[in-house]
Amino acid sequence: MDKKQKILLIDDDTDIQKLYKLILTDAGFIVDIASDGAGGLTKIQSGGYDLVLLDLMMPNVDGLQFLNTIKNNPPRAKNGPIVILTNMSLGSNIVRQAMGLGIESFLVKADLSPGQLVEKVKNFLNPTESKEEKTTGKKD
Amino acid sequence: MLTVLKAGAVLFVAFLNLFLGIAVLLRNTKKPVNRIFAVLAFVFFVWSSSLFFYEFPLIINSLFWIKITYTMVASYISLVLLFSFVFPIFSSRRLRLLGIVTGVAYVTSSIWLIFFTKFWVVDVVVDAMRGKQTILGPLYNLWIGLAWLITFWAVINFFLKSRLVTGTQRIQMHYFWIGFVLFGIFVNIPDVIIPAIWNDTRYFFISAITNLFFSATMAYTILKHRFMDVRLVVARSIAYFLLIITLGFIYAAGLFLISSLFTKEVTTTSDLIASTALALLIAFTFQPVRTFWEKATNKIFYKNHYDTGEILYALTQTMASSLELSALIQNALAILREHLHISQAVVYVLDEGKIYLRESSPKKSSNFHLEKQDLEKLHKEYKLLVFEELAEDNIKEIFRQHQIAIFLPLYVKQQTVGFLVLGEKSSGNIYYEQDLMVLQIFAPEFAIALQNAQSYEEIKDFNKTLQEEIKKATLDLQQANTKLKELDQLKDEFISIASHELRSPASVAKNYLWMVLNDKNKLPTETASQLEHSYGAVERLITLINDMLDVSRIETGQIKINPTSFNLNQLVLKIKDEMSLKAQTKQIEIAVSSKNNYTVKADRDRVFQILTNLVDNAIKFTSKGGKVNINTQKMKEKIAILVSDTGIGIKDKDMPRLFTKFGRLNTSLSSVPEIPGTGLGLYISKKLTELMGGSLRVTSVFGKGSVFIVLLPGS
Repeated sequence: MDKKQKILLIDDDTDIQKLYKLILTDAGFIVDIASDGAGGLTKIQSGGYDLVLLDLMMPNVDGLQFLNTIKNNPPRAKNGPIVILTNMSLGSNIVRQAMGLGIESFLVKADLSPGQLVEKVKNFLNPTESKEEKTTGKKD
Repeated sequence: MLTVLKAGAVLFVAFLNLFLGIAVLLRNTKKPVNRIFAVLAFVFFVWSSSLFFYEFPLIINSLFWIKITYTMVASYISLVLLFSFVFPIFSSRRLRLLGIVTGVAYVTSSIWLIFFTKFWVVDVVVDAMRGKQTILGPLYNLWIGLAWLITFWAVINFFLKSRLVTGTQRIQMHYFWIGFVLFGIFVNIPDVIIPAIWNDTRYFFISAITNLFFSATMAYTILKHRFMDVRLVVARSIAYFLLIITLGFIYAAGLFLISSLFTKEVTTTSDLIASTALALLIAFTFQPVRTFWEKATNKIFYKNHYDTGEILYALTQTMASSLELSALIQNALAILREHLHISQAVVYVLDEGKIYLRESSPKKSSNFHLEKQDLEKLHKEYKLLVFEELAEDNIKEIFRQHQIAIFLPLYVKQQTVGFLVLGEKSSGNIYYEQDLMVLQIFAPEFAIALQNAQSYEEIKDFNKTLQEEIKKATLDLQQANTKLKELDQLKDEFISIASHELRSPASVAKNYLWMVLNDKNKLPTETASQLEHSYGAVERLITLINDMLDVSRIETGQIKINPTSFNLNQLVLKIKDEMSLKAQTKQIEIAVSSKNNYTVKADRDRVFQILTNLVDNAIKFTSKGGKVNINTQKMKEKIAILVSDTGIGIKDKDMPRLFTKFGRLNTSLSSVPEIPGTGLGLYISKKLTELMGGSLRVTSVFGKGSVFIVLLPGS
């Protein structure tokens, strides 16, 4: 790896922001934070993110609105895949809607230990191993 | 005179036969029965006609005509034979063929004999005493013998068939036998027996008339589909015949006696026969002619005459066919007015004590209607009141005032249903005996019909109300249902949001604890142990949140199953990988057999969830150094995944609670540390398998181990 990879984290929970920034920076990534969908849209325009971690339940512009906007007006700058990072359950309506809007995958925060998070992020950034069946995270 | 009568009769029968033949043929030109009969009738026609020409040789000579006659006789015998092969049911083909051959042979040989030799008929002469006589040849009797043989064969056929058939065909045979027997007698006597014994051929003409017996009965059986009882027909025919004879005899005897005693004139036989025939004609035309004249005079004298039977019939028809109150009354009044020529009529109907005017005929004058008090006064006597018959009192006054002629109460048993009030007749006449009789017969029936119509209305109303109530109830039900669905939805949203809110702080705590525990700086053992317990607790908390969310979704039917076909081995290996860490901690070996590779149709993620739960349990409940096996098997049409362990097993008494919510085992073995778990895992696993069309079972031996079997539909 020549230069460090950039990750955009969009989540309104300040605890999560601090926690994940800590974990991922320790693991050698550059982490940018946005507190809601609006902030995320602004940041993504500048482009250059290798991965976007998106929460769904946010005030102002929430995850779904963010995805819809991206879909209709893709940013001119190039970005990496978008992964949903949420504590909602798989069966809920919102998650199902998100699934149909061009996301790469889906992770449940509560099910991940820091080590597992880092491993999954590395997989998204460098899919070196032969593609395992895309498990959409554990349980709901 | 006699000869004219003879001739007339023969000719009449001839044409009757022709007519019957045509009628039967027209009915059905395809059926052999119809065709053969038509030919037979035609033969009879020619037979009778030729006998007529024999008696009155207007063209050619009698000898020729008698030869034609005999030819016809030969023909009909063959035809009867043929007939016996097709009526009332077909004989076999071979027999039919045989019959045709015999018949044709007989006819051809007869024709040759009759026309080209003198072995049959020699000549026709006129005998002074006995009239026209035919001299018969030497082979005549032989021919007769052959004819009888053929006829005998036909009779056997008919007899055999009589025994076979049933139903309509059996009755057809009855009629046939009557016609045939009569015919047989009346042909053989004048044509065979009398010539043979008395050498007299003057009665030939009788057979030309009596052949009608056969053709008529046969036409009847062929044409009609419903038959009168044969016995009835025979009885009536005999009665009629006897009547003719009796009347004829009385008349002839009377005439003879009178003429011989009083007028001293000799009545010739021909005159006697002629006048007897005339007398019979009068006797039989008396009834129809009388009816005709009665009807004609009725038209003049009884212009307004109606037939009681007719009006009652019409009324009964109306009452039977109208169930609706207004229609019933209107129709009944219309019939009464039409036949009785009434000016006005009203029906009052009682409805729970109240009197309602229901339907009157048009042209009502304003004071025709009665008030309730008046009706009650009139009603007191419970009987038909006629204006002319009333004594001068206030009732009569009421009648006069309102121009009423008839008051008729209508009641069923003791209950009054209504009143029929009739005005005067438009002709001004009074109501005759006949009219009153009709009304009195009509009244009770009408009352019942009215009552029925009322009940019908009540039922209709009730029905309407019922319908509306049902509609309302259904609407309420629908609303309640919608509410319930909304509630369910709300509940589910609540659970989703709640679980989301609960998970957020839990995940933060979990992560920080993990980081501390995995810090490069080693922690003091005591601290590390405490923190590990905390970490475990947070993990259990998260698992519990997940499980409770699952349970809630299962119970509100919100779980969506996405069945796909996938290979089990891959999935099982993945599980082994994921659980290997936990298993190693307890030095438990997880063995997976990849002997078979089955494909199942199920929700992959859910199967993963279920198997994780089962293997996790297996590891939890097995002590150090134990074994856990995961195998796959085919069981009938389903695929079984067996998770077996060498753990502590399950007691029989604990089995019922195993798959229930929070139904945890209470292990009384103090040596085993308390086993953590939410108590929801097995419940969820069982429900999920069932949602995928499978089942979850367990067998166990306490102290030895357990086997959990997941059955899933194969692909």
